[in-house]
Amino acid sequence: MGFHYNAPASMSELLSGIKNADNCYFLAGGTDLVVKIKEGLIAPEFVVDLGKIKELREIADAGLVIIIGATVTHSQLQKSPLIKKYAAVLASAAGQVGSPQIRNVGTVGGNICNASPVADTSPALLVLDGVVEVKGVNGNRNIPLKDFFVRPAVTVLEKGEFVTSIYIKKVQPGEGASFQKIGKRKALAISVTNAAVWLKKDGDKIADIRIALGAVAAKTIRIPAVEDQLKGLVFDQSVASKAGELAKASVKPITDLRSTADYRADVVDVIVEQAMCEAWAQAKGGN
Amino acid sequence: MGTIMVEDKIAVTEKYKLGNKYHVLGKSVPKKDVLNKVLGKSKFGADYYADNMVHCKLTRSKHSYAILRSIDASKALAYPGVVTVLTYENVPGLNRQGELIKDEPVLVRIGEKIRKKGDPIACVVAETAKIAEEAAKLITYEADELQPILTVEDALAPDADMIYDNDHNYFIKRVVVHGDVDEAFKKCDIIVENDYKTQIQEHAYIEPEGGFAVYDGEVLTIYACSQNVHLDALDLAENLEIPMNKLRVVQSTTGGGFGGKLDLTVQPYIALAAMKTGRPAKMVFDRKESMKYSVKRHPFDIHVKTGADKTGKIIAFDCLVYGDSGAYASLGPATLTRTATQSAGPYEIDNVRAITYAVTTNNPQAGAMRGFGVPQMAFAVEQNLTELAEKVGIDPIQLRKNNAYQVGSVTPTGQVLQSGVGITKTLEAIEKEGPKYIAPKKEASKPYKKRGVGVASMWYGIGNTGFPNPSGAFVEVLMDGTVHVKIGAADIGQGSDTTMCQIVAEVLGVPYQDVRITSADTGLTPDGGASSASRQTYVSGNACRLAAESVKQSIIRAASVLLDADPDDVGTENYCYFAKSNPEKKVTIKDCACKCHHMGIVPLGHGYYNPPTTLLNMKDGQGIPYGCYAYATQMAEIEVDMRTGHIDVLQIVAAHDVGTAVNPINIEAQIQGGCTMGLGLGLMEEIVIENGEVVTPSFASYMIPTALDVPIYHSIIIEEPDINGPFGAKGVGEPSLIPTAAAIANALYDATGVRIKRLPLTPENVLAELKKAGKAL
Repeated sequence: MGFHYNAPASMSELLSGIKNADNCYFLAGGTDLVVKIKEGLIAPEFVVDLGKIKELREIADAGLVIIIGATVTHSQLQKSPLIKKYAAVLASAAGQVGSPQIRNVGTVGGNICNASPVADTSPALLVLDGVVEVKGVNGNRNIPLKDFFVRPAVTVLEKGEFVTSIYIKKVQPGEGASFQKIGKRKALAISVTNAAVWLKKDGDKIADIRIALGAVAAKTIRIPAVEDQLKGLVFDQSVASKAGELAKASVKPITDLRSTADYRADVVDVIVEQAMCEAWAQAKGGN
Repeated sequence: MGTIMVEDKIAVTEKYKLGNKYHVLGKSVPKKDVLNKVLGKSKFGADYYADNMVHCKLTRSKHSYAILRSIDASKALAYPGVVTVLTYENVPGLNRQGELIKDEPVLVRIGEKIRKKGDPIACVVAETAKIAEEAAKLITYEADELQPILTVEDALAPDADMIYDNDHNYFIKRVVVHGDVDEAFKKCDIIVENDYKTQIQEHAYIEPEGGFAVYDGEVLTIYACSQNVHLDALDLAENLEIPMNKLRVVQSTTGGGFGGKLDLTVQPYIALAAMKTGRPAKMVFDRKESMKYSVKRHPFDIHVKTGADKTGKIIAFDCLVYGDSGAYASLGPATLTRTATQSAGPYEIDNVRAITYAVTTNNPQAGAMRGFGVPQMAFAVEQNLTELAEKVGIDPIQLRKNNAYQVGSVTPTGQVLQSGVGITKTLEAIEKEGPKYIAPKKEASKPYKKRGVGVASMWYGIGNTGFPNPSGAFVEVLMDGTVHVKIGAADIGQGSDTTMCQIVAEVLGVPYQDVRITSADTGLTPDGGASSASRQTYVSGNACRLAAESVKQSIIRAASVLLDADPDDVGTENYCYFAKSNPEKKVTIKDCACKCHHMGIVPLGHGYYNPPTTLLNMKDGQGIPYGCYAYATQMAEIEVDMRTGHIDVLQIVAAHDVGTAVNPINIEAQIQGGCTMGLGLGLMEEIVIENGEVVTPSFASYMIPTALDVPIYHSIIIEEPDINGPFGAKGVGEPSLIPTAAAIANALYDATGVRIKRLPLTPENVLAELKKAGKAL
């Protein structure tokens, strides 16, 4: 009961004060952490609040990539002109997280560190080839997001490590990306399943493609084997439909309180197909 | 603000083209409670505060079914900040509470049964809520575990353990029999027979339960959310062993009830704590505690058989219903009684048999919830009827019209309907107005979607079923001409305070603004019965009318002296009293009130009203269960995504016969709110129970509709006055919810040709059925 709370005002203060303890948690928006503490699911000894560190709250244009600070909120992502222009898929996904109140507080760094397989920003970040920048007592490292998640609530982060930012690739002309979600109602709905597709066109062919799926495994996943089968194909409705079928065949979802394994499997193809069609339309529009 | 509302009321009154012969009645005057609510001034149970107050928290059982052997509170008592711990030994009285059957322990006694997960074992009383919460976790108990009974089938198995000292595991079995059902089915050309299943629904009121108690050494005062303070007081008095005249139960502002705040919740514990410690005591449930341990809507297993001749005249109806009522009776017996009387719907059927059971299990208890056992039946019966119409080959609205009750019709309980039978008018309104909003045939918006339109009707008896349920009222005209009304009826947001003031203002011929009301305070107001059964407009409304008419006699007596006219000659208009024979001369009610005092009269009136019901015969359910009935028909337009099973409800047209519309905008709000709750029941709401425990105890796991899920509503108010209602008024609170899920289910069939007999119609449920029928994309 009770914990030590610390809110460093700068990155240097944060780094010098990091607790290399099992029981140290980093607080970003708190929409998951505070609930878990209140429910007694975790009992931190130290809570380090990242909220006062300005550079973690910024979205920066770095040429081909965008650098998103760990404590950038979903609302920021949803409204940022930079994100809307170069990563509309992420703005769309962030805009479908929870309610306005949750989006105003919840952060992208928190969303990925919580490692929920149903998180809405994860598929979008994955198809934008997200890379997680991590700092800690033992130095810095960059981890591709596809290698970041382990299982629900578990990432590859080690003791005393925290996320400072996420790098994503801009969606360029000739490329397109789309996020699709099935929820139990039209707003304030945790995903029953979700998916994102990014693709690059070359004439009428799919030059490159990335597909990410949420809520069909213990973590948000990419499906490289399926992606490989689609690369080089001439895009049409039947290819989109085939992508859906392949995606469906590649996952084994589970039944939980929010939905059933059967249902998730039944709709994976629908959202992948839809995401693919939208991504293609966008890529075509960009040419 | 007043000005804006006055303009609105004209618009609304014109919109509904209502009869407008009254000066206040039928006008959408501002609700009495709204200003304080929007300004945040209303005081809810959780808002009460005193510097020296103590806080209460329950330690609840982890077992579903066991015999309590010992309680160890030593660690909690030693915890800093704990004032005391209450156990059964601190309950001076009966230690049994319940609206109908005294079966639920305030705190479980050693040697007695724990009957559900969450039964109260001990109550920590502490300096802060946080300390109380922490200390409550330190209390342990020992119990001999019993094998819990968690399904209706297990409860009714021949060798089942008896949860109570009884020879059956049900709180009530109700039978309504009219005519010869078995013979009648032999004569039917068409029979539709189906099994339906409905889910557990949570009330999801905006305010979780909370209350505050103060004991001054003589009188114990309790402020808590409630739907019936007088019955609370009776239940509390028996458990606290104090006389009712030393117990004052005041309804704190109540953020919705929907039937869930009829049972005692926090009251016994704050009462015991305040009396034991001599300090004010407070207790507030958080959302999780509220959702886990408050009563719920009964899940039903329904078998229903409808038979007709080849023209579609319904000849026979038979149903068998099992409702899982959980571990304690709460209002389960009354719910399943209402189910039995109303199951057949608003149709004249000569041969009806309805058998219902409120089954006892070790699940969380079901109790009252908006609609009280009727929405479940509408889901079943209205689907059966639409299937019947299809087999007969006539329009489903026409089939309903052909069978609808008329004045003089005989109901399944043998009651002859005397007046106010508006079912046909609601059907005609939907037939005429519905297509203006919802085109009969139209393409869906997407190639992978299908569009459908469905209709369902209902009737609802206003008031408690086959029981006396009187309400009282006091009305006093003060010396300045303003009026004070005192009634027991609890306004839980539905608007009874407003309705009562309108009725009193109408009778006395005074402005609505000059009528003030004090309600639901056992120290000040007469018994008003429960704000349930959609009964307060009808029952307390009549009490107010009678009380106002009685005080009006005094006012008229004074007026006749002032006007030098015969009392029979005194009329009222434009807020003045005048002599009809000499209308030039006028006096105000203030003049009359002063004159009363000069004449030695206190202008004080009281009245009470009891609906003209009779008890129902236990054997065949014959009798008069209700004084009047409300009727409704709703039409829903939906689109179904054939790939994902998602249902999108686009529009609902709802025609409700309310008798006389006392406050049209408030009725419209009730219709919209009820339809939304019905849509939740139809599409998404479901309390899931695993091993006797609610596993969906939050709004993250229990889905209710958001603003984006709500369709466009078109409300139609039908006025078919009832001879028993005040100015003909009936009720609308529950009727608004009843047909919605059924209309959606019928629309789903219209769209897809697939009939789903299990609620809710979640995408998972719908897609599975579409796949089974080979119709999914």
